[in-house]
Amino acid sequence: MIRSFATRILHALITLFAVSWLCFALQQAAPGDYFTTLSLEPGLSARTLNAIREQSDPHASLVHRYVAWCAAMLHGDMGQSLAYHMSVYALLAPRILNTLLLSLAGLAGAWLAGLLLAAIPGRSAAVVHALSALLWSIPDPVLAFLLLLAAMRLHAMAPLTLDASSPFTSFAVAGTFTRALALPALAMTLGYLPLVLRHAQSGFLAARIAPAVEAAEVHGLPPHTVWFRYIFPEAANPLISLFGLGLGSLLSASLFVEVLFGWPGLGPLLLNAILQRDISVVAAGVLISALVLISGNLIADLLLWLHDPRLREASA
Amino acid sequence: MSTTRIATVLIALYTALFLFADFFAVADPAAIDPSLPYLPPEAIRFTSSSGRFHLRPLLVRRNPIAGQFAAYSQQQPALIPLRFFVFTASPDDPSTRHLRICAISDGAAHFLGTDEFGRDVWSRLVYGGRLTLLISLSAALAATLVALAVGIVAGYSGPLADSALMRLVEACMAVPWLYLLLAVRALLPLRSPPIVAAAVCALVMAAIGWARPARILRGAAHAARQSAYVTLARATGASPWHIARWHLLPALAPLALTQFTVLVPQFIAGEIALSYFGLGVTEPLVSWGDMLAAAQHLSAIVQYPWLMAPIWAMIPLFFAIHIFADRSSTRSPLTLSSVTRHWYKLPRQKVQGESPVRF
Amino acid sequence: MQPLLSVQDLSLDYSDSSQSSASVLKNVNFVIQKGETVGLLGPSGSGKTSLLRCILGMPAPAARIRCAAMRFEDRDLLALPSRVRRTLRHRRMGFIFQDPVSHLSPYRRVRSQLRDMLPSAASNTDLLDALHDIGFDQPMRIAAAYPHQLSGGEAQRVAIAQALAALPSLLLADEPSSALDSVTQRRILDLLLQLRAEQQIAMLIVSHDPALLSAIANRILVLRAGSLVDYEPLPQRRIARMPAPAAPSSPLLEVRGLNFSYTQHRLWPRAPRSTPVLKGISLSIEPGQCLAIIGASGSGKSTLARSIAGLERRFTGDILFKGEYLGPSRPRAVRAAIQLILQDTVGALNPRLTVADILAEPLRIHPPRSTSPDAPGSIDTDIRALLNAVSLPSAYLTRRPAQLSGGERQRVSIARALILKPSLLLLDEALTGLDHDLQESILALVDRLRQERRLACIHFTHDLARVLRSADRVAVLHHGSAVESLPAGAFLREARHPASLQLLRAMLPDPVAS
Repeated sequence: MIRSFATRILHALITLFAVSWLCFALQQAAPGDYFTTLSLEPGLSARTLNAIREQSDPHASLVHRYVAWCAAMLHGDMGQSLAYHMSVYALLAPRILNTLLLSLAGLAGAWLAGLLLAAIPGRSAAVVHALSALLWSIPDPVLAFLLLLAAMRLHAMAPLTLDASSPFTSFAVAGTFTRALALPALAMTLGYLPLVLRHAQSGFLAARIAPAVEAAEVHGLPPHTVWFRYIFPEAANPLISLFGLGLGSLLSASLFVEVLFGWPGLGPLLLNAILQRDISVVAAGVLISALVLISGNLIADLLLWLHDPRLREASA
Repeated sequence: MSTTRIATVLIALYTALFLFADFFAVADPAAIDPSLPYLPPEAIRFTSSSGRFHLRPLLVRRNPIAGQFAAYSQQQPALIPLRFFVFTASPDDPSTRHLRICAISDGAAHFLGTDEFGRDVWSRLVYGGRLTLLISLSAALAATLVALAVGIVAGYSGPLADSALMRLVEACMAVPWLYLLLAVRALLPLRSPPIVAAAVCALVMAAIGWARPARILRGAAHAARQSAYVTLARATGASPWHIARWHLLPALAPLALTQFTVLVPQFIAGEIALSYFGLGVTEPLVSWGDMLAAAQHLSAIVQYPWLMAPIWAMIPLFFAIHIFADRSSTRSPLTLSSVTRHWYKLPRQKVQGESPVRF
Repeated sequence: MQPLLSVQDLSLDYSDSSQSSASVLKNVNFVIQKGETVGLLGPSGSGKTSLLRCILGMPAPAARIRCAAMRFEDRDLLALPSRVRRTLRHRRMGFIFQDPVSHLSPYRRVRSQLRDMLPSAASNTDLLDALHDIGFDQPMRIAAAYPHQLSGGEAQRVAIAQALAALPSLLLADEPSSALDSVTQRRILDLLLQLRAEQQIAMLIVSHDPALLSAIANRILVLRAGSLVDYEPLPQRRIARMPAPAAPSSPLLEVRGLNFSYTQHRLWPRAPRSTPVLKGISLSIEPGQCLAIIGASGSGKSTLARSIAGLERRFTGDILFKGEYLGPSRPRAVRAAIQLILQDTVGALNPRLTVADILAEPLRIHPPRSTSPDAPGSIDTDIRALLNAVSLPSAYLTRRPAQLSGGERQRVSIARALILKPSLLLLDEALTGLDHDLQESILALVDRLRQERRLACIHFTHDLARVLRSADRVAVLHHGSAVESLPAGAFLREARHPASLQLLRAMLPDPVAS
């Protein structure tokens, strides 16, 4: 019983190992010897310079360097950002919080709306289907873009421009914060909605003709009992997996929205880091996103495991 | 069905447009006209300035206001007759001539306006769409073929190879693909010949995009392998080649087609992302992402909304592709729910009363 | 006396968008008195299930119903709003499905699913009582179990408990036992008989098996192509028992001391867990002979069939074919000579191939030796002749499995197995779940081939009644060991082992015209 779940955790660890190698390789493969450029940087102290140099000592073996890198990562020491002259950890932490906030708001909106809309029966279902087909046909970034333009037209807002290179400043006033959050969160919701809608609709459709649900209706159970005790559990498995995927992409799904709306999250920072070849920031960002992705899948597995008694007994 | 017919017509239209881009585009996509930056879309009318009917369509060309950037006078536009089926010479190389659908006496008609450098937006839309689609189609084809091979090998060979391949797939899927795409591309030399840059763009996307279809195809191969008809074929002495040819491929082909159609819009979005952030297609080639990169300054988009043309061109295309993906997925015996089951590794219902049999 | 349920002039047709309507029921009239058990007999596709759904008030969406009157407990069902029909289903009617396990929700315990059916005031004790009444000795264990943890028979009893929970006056059962093996089937039948005696519930039992219905029902209605016709017991099938082989010929197949265990290797804990499936099986069969291997589900029949067919390798012991030992990699000729037919008629045929392709597949694997120029033509004639032999028209060659009925699919499977002219046919529950008439015609075909081609066959089944008349020898398999082996003629009299006796008791008397 525990074994099957332990296997999943083992798989997740293997995956994490592979991804960490990838990130490490990314950092190692950065072209050009950047110590030369580094030493010219006036903002870097000799001490940090030494620390960096030690970490990627070309004479040490690859495995040795990998172990050192992992140990440093585990201690929260993710290296120094070249572009911002600060520790990667201090740079990323507030950004990650902002991104999480935005993504969670978008995810919650999409799931609420998606489940409610998918449960609509009869002829209105066709309308919902058309809506989801329309949203599905517009690529997410384009959707965000159009939303932004519409908002600018309607409210004659000053165009939001992105300045990712400036240090992160927190929003002082909660009201401003929510106002600033509303639009990008809506864009996230609309982008994610068709996915939820399609899966929920087809899940409910399949569940309604499932033998167990048919039996509940033949036995004349009241509609709410049929919905909550038979249809929902029947349709839940793929939805739980989808939810896990959503949780997993909390950090990585919002790149375009963040860039477009100037949301001070992880996306613009990583993008800028990629363009400026600030590789330690990129590696740390990708690693953390992968970690979130893997944990999302693991959480989905756990939920599935709790929901489906057959899974609990299936040996891995 | 009517939606399928609409989608077919749309796909046919786009295909014709991209196949005969040289004909439908009215200008060279890289041709610069410093005199006409940000020219708004130009209208056509059939009445001359004196109000008389004019059979040959007349292009309404507004005159630039002297001394101001991108400002055009509303008064007294020039009316220039359009000529159809004209041979025009390329500005770089006068020896190559293209048959264009129409032209005016001293250049091109700008039906969708021009961009910052006075380049014709319509022509860039046609040529850019062609390149975007070429990149994403070839990347999707490569990714699907790799996925098909991996899927069959993992689904049909022993548990060891299966397990190893699936861990690899999971590792590929665990990395946020957009960041990985950007990071991998950023590691490769930025300044490379445009053709090479486009090919690298396709390669990087294929290298990252094969994992998910491989997982789904592997599930289907696994299911087909455990079916009773494969058991019977094996009992009769069928070779692995026979089973792959007669049972696995027919089972996987519709699914692979669906995966291909699902990958294409993803890769179009990927190309746009790469080019938008300056990591994809570069001058003198043009792609939709490249065009949208000019729209990074939102103020420019608000002022010159015709720069958003690729977006409006993209939506019907995506609609058509999604319709086809839907059709091919419902036509295959694997329904959406069983696809998601393979996708998410959900269990199959236990067969009642059978002792566990493995082979 | 007012009948419990009366149906007058019920007609039902399905009309789809293409304006073609298929008539399913035509002017059906019948009544059910209080406490009466009525059997409804009909082959698959005769409209039995549609009739039940009409009574429940849940017809398929495309169905159009015309009915003069349908009264239940003095109420006009046709006039009732759907909400009241639902309450009637909940409180006054019970329903039992064919496939018990899948009609229980896999996500909730038996306890909570049974509670949904009980009146809201019911206590925990009532729930356990309901389970106890249905014959469970340990109602606590059953109540705490999930459906997949139950055996087929247990699940069907839980389903009956659900149907009876609200003390209905009418119990509708749609093939209540045909998904179960014969021993369990017998147990469910006894339970229904007991309920009839104790609780005075009226029952309408639908089945394609006349033996089952004549064992339980007061009267039998026969539905044929949508109309009710008179019930006539089937004539006894006369078969000429094969004369014993004149000279003792050499055995075609010999199995000596076959052991098979299913081993699970794992990283932790290290010790491999080994479950024996077959223990020291020995058997032999001569050309033209027919052997029946009988056993309840889980007795190892399928594994034995798969081992003989060469699908399993991890057995110990010897298999000899025509006197030659078969190693792990078999000669191709042997693979062609032993053919397997499975119960799964849906899965056995690749849904993407046409019938012609399916029948030609064995010939693609074993291309005919002859290199005559008209070889493709002869293959085609072979296929057509074979299709004719299983009485299917050659127009079926271009069809795909989804366009065939279950019986037609099984006939295609048999044709596929015969195309290589095998000398041994293995039928793994190949007749189970088919209509009675169809089973008879397939058995007749196999008998004919035994005479014409000296084809040997082995039936692996739980259904003693079907094979007893055509088999020469019957062996009983019980928990992986062959416990008894007798000539078929002597089996009824001489079987002694408890497992054999249990199978014999489960056998329903054939409803033969006396």
